[in-house]
Amino acid sequence: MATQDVFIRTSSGLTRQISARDALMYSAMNPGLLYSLVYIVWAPAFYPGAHMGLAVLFVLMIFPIAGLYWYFSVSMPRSGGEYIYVSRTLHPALGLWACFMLSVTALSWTGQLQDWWIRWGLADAIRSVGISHNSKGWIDVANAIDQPIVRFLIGTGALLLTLWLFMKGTRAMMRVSYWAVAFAWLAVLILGLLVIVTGQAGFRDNFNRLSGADYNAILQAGKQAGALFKVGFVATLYAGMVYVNLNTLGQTFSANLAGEIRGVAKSQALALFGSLVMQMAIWFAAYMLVYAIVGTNFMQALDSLWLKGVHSLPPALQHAHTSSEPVPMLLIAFMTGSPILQLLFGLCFIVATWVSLAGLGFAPIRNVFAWSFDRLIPTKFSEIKTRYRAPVYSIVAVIVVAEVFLYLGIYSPAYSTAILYTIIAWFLGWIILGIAGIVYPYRRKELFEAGPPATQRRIGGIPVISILGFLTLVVSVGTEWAVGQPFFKGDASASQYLTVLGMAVIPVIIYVIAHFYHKSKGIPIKLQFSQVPPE
Amino acid sequence: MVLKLFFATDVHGSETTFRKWLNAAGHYGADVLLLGGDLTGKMLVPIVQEQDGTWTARYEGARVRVDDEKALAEVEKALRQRGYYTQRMTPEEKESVRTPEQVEELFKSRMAEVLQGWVGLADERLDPAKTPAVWMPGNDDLEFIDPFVSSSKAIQNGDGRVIEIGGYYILSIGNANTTPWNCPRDVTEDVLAQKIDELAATVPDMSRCIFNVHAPPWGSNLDLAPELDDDFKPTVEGGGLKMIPVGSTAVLEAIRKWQPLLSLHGHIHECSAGIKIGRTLCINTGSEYHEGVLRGSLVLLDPKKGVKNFALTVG
Repeated sequence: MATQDVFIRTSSGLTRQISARDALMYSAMNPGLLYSLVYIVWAPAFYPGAHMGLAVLFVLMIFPIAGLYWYFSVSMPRSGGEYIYVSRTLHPALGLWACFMLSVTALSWTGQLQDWWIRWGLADAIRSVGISHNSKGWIDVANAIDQPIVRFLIGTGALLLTLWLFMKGTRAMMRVSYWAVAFAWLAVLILGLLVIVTGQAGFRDNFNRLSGADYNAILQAGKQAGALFKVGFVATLYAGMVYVNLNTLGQTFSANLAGEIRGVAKSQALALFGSLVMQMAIWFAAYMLVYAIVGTNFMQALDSLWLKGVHSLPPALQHAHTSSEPVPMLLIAFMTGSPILQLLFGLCFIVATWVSLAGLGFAPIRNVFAWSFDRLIPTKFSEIKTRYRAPVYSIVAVIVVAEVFLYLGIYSPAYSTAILYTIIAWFLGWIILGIAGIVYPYRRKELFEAGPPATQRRIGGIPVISILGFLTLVVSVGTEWAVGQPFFKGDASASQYLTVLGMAVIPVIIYVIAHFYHKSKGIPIKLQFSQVPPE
Repeated sequence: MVLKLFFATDVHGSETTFRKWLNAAGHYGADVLLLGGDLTGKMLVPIVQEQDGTWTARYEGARVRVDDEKALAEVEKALRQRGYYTQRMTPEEKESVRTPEQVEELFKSRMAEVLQGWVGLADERLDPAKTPAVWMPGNDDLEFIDPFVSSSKAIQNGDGRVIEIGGYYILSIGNANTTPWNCPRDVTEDVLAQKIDELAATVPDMSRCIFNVHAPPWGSNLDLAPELDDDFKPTVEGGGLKMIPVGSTAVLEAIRKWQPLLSLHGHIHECSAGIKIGRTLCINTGSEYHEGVLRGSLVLLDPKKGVKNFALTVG
């Protein structure tokens, strides 16, 4: 049959395409939509004067990176993923290295961030009921949950549930993913309702009545602790680059599906850019609504007091076993007296966070599978068990690593403070990706020139993909600089960098071992990835 | 002596991928070259000469317009690299191609021309005494191409035959079990089983036999493809595609029954892997012909140890 532009004959496999809407949803669902309710504490604490509502605007810096993914995924649609892009453009060792950094980072979230929903979704929601009803029983329950061993056991149970979800298949995952998005929106709706019903005056009254401290006194103490009651551009820039942009990580996963997307150029554009717009809308609403109820200056004051030390916080907000971040799931104690709303708000955080962590664990499974497939790690990891139709060894490996990160997150808080190391590691991976983007048209000239016309655009004679690669490099280096600021100021531990160093050394060791092993077996890895000349 | 075999498949008309395959022996140091089925392309881009003398091609959501012969040749080359056939036409000629039969005739003329070119190139570059090579049509290939595929002096058409090379018996079948598209060489499972059995019965030593069968064995994880709905649209779940096995039960049973040393497959492009069925190592190299990437597999065959080692390549 004839189409308007291209003649197509009967053959197999021509119509394996998914819609632009599917791709958009896939990209939008991966990052944790309610992590913003934690970053509203951390970011202004480390960067005083940061206004999180305005910081959302700096997500615009991620657009060039999304653009680079667009170019790569349209150029190499069937392959997909950083591992392939970097391996084919630069070197398989660098592909492994960059992909390893991104994968372990995502996995560390899958493990460590289980503790987030336990502390701030579960325990703090219960604690907020206790505070607003002056009930020691509820607060005791919250304190019991906050104990490290209890959190570790609950987190382990959650990871086993994640394992079950992975083994169960993607149908179950899809269902819970939609629930995650729905609960994120429900949280925003609850905040909107509380702005109308309670407002800032009501919050102030409730705070003075229930917290054991005075609203105005907190403002003063916060100011003395370093809080700035005006918007600082540099602080907001840093907060946006580090925390808000951190929250977008995972939205590029649609690149892995590019080969199956109908009208890949337009659909990927919608998925990669549209998802960023959707996330910006949700986060802007969440940040501004919290500020509207609590008061921007008051939130800044609480953040600075929290960084100064737990004992600087009002007594009601001090936790017996954890670092006492004054997150909105706790502050809701002063927004409403309804235990239903308080617990529902906590549930929103629990569902949105747990599901996003499962979603973030999917990509590492694929990557472990890919490394095994390419013989960089034992081929056992790419075996698919017929009984489960799943790469069982890869799934188990991913869950075990996540469990290790859960343990470290709970028992070595200095190691995991503010998860800054993950940003360092992720953007190191993107530095490599940016370099791959810059040199792609020159190192892989034949692939570039044979690519779809849309990927061969130039500005001033320079390929657009090279420009986007350069911008990715600049944004990534700039982000590393911004992440380093708390460390330079002494607010963050050097353990962040030691962690990243450890993460960076492991893939090098893996590659060296694989290199010598396969050389001895007659088919060197280098040969496996080398380009056959077409002429 | 260890024999190094290189296998690729599903080039689907891609000039770059085929040329890479021709060069694979030198590049990888392979002793034998195999090319699985689906040699011909699926799409043809008309390059239309406009009234002002310029040429316009529309594909992959873009409109490319050139105004001189050199630029036009570059566009044609780029399209050929990705597996598209091209045809220079006037708007009237393009408009006149309306029926499926007319489209097929257009394809046939371009396929014949390209295959003739490939045969010439192979005969020029490959020395069959030094590097034996075997290729075959696949289920997507129209039957009219057989004379072209058999015309090469350097590459043998293995389809429906057992060819002995270096002490190994290469059994080749390009048919596949029936697909939703009813492709030219789709056959029923029964027919496929019979074809394999008839050929396998002629092999003197199964421990030195290599199956070169286009369709992968069913349920082997070499045959996972997106599940399609009634509109041929893939089913999505969990943020990913729902994958189901679409391979051949006849091929699976034949491998179980005959237990050849090695079984090489293609057909399902996105399902590249190596697995074991009993004693048989089964490989699907997958295909990225559209990107000009030659996916393949290097297999080291040891007369005493059988398969000594293998690797899936991205060249």
